[in-house]
Amino acid sequence: MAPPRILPAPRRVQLKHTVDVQLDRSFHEQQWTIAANLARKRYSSTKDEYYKAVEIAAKSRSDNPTWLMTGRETVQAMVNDAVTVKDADALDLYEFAVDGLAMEYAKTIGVLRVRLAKALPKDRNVGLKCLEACMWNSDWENAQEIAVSLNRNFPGDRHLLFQNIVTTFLVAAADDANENKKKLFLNLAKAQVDRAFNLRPLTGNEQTPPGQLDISENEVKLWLKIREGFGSPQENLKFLSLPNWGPLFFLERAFTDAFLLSIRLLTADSQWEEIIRVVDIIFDKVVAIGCDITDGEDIGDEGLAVSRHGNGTNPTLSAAAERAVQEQYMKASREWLIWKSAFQAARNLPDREKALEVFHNKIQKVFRVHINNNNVNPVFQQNYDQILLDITFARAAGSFDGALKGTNKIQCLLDLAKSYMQASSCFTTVKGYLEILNREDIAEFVRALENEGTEDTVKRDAFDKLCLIALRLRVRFFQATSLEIGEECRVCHSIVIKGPDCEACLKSIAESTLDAFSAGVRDEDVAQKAAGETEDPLSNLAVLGSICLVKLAGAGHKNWQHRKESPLYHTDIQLFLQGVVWLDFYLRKTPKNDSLRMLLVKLYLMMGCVTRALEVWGSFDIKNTLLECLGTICLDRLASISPNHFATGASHSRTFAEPFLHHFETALRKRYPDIVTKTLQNGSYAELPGVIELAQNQSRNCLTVLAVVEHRRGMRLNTGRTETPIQEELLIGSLSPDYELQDFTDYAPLPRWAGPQSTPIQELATYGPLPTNRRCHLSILAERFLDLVCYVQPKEFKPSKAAQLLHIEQAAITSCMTPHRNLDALISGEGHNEDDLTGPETWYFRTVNELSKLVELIISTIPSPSIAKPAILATITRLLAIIDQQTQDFLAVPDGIPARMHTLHGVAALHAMGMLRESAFAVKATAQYVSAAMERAKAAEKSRSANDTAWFSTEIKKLSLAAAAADAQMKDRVKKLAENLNTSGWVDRLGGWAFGDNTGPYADGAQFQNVVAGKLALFVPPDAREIWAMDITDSWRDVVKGWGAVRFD
Amino acid sequence: MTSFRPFTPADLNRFAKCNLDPLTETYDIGFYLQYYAKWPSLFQVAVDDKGNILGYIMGKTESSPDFFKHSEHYLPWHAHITALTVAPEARRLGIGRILTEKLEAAAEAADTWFVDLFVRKSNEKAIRFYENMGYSVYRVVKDYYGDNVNDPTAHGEDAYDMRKPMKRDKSRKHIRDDGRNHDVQPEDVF
Repeated sequence: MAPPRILPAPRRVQLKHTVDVQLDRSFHEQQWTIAANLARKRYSSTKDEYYKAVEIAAKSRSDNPTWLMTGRETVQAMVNDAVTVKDADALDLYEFAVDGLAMEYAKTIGVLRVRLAKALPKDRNVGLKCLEACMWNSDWENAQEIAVSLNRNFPGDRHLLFQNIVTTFLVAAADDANENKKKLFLNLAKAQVDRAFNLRPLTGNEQTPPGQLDISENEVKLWLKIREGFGSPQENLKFLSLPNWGPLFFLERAFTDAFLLSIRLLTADSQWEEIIRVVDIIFDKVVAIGCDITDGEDIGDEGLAVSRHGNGTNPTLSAAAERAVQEQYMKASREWLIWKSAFQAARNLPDREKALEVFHNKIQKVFRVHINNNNVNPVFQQNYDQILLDITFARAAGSFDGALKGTNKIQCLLDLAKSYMQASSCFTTVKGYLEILNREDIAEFVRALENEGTEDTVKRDAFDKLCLIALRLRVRFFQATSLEIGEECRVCHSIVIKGPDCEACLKSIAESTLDAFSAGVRDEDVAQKAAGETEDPLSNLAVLGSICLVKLAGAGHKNWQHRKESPLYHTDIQLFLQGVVWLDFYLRKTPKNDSLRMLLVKLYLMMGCVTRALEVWGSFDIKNTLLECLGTICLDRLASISPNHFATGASHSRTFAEPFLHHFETALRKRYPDIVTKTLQNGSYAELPGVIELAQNQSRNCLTVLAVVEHRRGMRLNTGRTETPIQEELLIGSLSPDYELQDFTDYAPLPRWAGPQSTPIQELATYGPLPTNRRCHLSILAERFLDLVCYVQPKEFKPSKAAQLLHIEQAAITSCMTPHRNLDALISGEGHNEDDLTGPETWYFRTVNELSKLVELIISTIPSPSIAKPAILATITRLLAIIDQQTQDFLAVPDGIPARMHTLHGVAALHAMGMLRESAFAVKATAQYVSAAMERAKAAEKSRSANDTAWFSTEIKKLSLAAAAADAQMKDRVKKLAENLNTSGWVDRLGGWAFGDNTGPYADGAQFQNVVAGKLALFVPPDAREIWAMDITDSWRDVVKGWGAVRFD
Repeated sequence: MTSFRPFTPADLNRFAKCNLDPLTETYDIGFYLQYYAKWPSLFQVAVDDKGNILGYIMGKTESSPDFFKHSEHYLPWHAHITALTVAPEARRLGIGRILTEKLEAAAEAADTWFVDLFVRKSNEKAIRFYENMGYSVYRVVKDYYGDNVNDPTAHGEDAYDMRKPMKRDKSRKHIRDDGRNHDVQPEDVF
């Protein structure tokens, strides 16, 4: 549990109330020079050390370069000289003075905080203030020392005791703690928390937790958290089985969260017998309560270990308290976690069959009690049906009598599917079982569902029938995408050529979905009912059919050729457009379906329709916290496709990336430290690790990097420069290349209906591979390189000798070369493949890598680069080849397509243009940088003949010319795209591509495409096609117009 | 399957199914974490078997500040439902009721007098839902909402302040039978 990577914002400082108005005002108005002078005067007249601190804080914040390090030097001196600042307000000012400087808090201010807390041990407020400051700065170790001191000096304060325990736990859980320290602190945390509940006696062997009257649930949750993290299963079991402790004790005290956590702990520790014992008591109690209520029949105990009354409850409780306890048992018996844990426990007991049978019988009785009590709502019923199915599946696998095998399993699954076919979760639930069935069983289930569709249809209305069809086709889709190459599909009996998908089945599913959708969408009753139900079968059919078409069109970056050019280069455009027009048609009809909208955003981005994609994206109104889990879906690679969205203007004051930057900066620098301190203050001890983990994950989120990189790339494409050096970027400035990043995007809004081996839709309908640690680090390292070659010496800097500048330059290059070696390792190192990059990205990173090698070769040898001439020439040759290849890939257009379709491929290849522009920019900037460095070197050593470096100038010029040639190609492409798009006829053209006869370019699947076109035409009327085509054309015009503003020089 | 458990910060990355619904407001991350930090037992979620959040309830316990004590609008120690949402796909299953019951249990454990909430006067579905759960209108807060979903020309919409008494309020002194006749202004509401 290491602190998050990104440093917190400074805490607000207020000057003491005793400070005069003049000083107070100047300080808070940030008139630092005035404030520093005033504070100095106050200090000299009062000799109050506090004013010294005010002066230092003001000086450290001023623009005066000679004052900037005052705070740092003062604090370091105090740390080194064992000085104790005995004024908490003064220490706040010193903390403020060093904020933002590269000083490790734990070794500087943190140390002073501990000294202060210990120097004033009886001052609770000072101690708490210091503790809070350390927590704000994620300095667990010093926080723990302060918490120990507070606990020792206020022994009766239970809150301080638990602050001590939780900080000890944080130190023990810190990733960077060494093993011995970890062990010491974890033992300490365990011992402290056990003793807090008298679970661990100080002397003797007796463990008798008292009545525990004064304990709070928050405290118990911390105990469970520590046990979960560090307790051995045996030790945990020993404690959880103690009288006056454990799950039932928590339950009876209405510590519901603690009760559930304790069951979770027992499950994690595989304490199956104990779980069964606890759940038996709960179930038996509930059954007994049920008997009391009905005053009735003896339900029987099925070998229960407890009597009918008072199991686990206190016999001395009053009637009201007993009723409250009974209520707790009733509630617990409805919890899914309890059922699932007991089911898992029964499955793992030695006599599994018997245990499952007993559990089966008991849960039925418990359910009957709840029915009698009118306590069964749909979600409870659904859970109950599902646990019965779980039991059936588990018992069928180990059944010896044959009664529960195969067919019964399928029949039970079928019953569940039929019962819940109108629920959105139905397919997801069914899919969970399909994933554990073998292929024969899956095929059997598909057939059973098909038969269901043809039998007793009279009973169902059109909407229900459509729900069943949508479910059946999704199950078929799952089956058709769960195969292997060379395998015979058990449904259509064709041999699978491209695993794991059965192409014949995909075609058949697409046709069936079209038929069903066509019938449904024209049925007024269905449309009306769909609007009022949670499940919309029409939307499911449209999404499923489109996914089939997109798959059949050959989209998906896992195709190796796909990486080279545009995402649609090898795609059957007609099938792709048919998928898009279908979704777009239904979106306009019923705009509520999230999966459909999200999929459409991805598809529109693939075809360069950025405006339309962002229009659909905008309908989600994604902001604040949602940006973090969904933002990647739209933001990734957007700057290279549409740089215009990363420029500010009259119509948009913020770039597309700025809300992301704002979210992460605020969350990590302000909200996180604030919440950490609030969590501790409010005694939510067990919640603290969750907050820290969230901030760690935010720090590790690829999106933090992508947002910065996209923002910078967009700015660079638009203006030819970036405003902030990468090391000053708050989110990634200090990110080291070995820091592991991760994609935390929640892809759940996209449909997940395919088999486990099939390419998920987020990878299928995308411009390129999903974000990875490697891509993010490559992007940062490339940005660092661009910072280096774009650096311009401030005019104020006037070295006394030209040679001085050269030395500084060489020193700068040397210090920058480590990141460039990291870049080389990421590009060429072993174990890296390029599956996580698009083709244009690969070319760009290779270009930057070669350029960084070139810079190192030149700067380390100037003023005599001839020493390294062969290496320099070889590098330049490689660079020229890369630029040429990248340009050729960008210009490539598939063979045999109509001339006008070149425009479609042109807009689909905008990302390739963005990355080529990045490469050209890097090459030009590097050429200028090394040429300027050479000029300065020559100026420093005038004795050298200019002819010595004539070859150098010629070679560097070749680079500039190559970059200029690439730029010219791009400008020409933008011009042609604009010209073509400004001609008329696009509506007919797009309509023709989607609905017409395109046997020329896509002869292979012509028959199928025509069938699809015919079926689509039945429900997409001409005016809808026209609107769709107009929106696409407008969208392309917009994006190309944006490219017109990109700087190519 | 749907299970219920306390909220954890990691859930913020899985709540798209709820928060993509246009009627569910998405707040700054600090807002959710503040509730988690201060009132963890009043922040409960419903989760599907893939870990997606299907619904959540977020509440707090509080009373009016002491200086307000002699005001007729003083609120004694009570729990407040700040947000209750269920993903569109998981509606009509009783998830909202279970989440509310869980918050009420936490409110009972905190020995509050009542649980209250604000709801748009036009949101008949929600009002019916709460009435079925034992809530009743205590007062009408005039123009509490800045916008009016049914009438864009209106400058606001009234809110019903609805309450359900907890066991502590044995004499039902914090509940009104004729709450719909008691109007207050937004500034009277703490």
